[in-house]
Amino acid sequence: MDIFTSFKICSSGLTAQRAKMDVITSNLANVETTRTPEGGPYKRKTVILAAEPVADVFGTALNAAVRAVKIDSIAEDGAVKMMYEPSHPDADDKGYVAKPNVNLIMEMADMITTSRNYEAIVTAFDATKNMALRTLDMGK
Amino acid sequence: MQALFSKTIDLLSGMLDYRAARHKVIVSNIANLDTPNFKPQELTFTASLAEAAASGQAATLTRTHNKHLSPGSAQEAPFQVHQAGDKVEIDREMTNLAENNLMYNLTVELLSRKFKGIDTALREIK
Repeated sequence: MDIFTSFKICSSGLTAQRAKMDVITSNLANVETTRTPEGGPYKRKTVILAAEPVADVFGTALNAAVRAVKIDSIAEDGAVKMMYEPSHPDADDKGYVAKPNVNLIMEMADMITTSRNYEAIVTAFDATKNMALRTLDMGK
Repeated sequence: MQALFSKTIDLLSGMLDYRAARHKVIVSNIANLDTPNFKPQELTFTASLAEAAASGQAATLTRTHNKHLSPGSAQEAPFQVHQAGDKVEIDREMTNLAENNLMYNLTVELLSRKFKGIDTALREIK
């Protein structure tokens, strides 16, 4: 039994969820940002995940079923919210400011989902570790 | 050898193989919780465990020449992967994980008791 494949899959999942969390916090932190180095307001970002075959399981039917996760890309939401704030320094001549298209409620909901997903993977990791330890104890 | 390590150990190690493989599949499902277009997988026996253990002993390889080596340890996994539903359901996967984990531990426990039994028998002879 190759228990390390399970560990590898768990860690790829944890990495993916952590990246999602990074991006969500970045969106939340920049909810009001109107200036960025590349110009214009901050663009809302979303992590896109993809399943990835695990390389070292050879010669079994499992090859087709077992998948790790990888971060496929980070999509940017180019849309902006136009808010009427004539006093804002970045307001255009009609008094509108381009704000990032970040919806606080949606980001918070995403954050909870990501955190729960992370917990689920941690549980899976614990179970894997438990199995490995039990196997080591078998001869005792 | 056969007197000491009977069918029980073959059966239990087959079971252990199955549980380990199924664990891998479940972990992969959980890791891909929110991967778009990911289809969850499930692992089932193609035959009963008893048959699986028996077939694991001698995989059916055809000898086309009598100087070919006879099939020895070549084993094909006696279980089969199939798609389970259209998207990952976390509660189902977590239940499967817990159940599979318990069954794995149970199998390990049975194996280790079997070994302990053999050990006791040997010790009493001395």
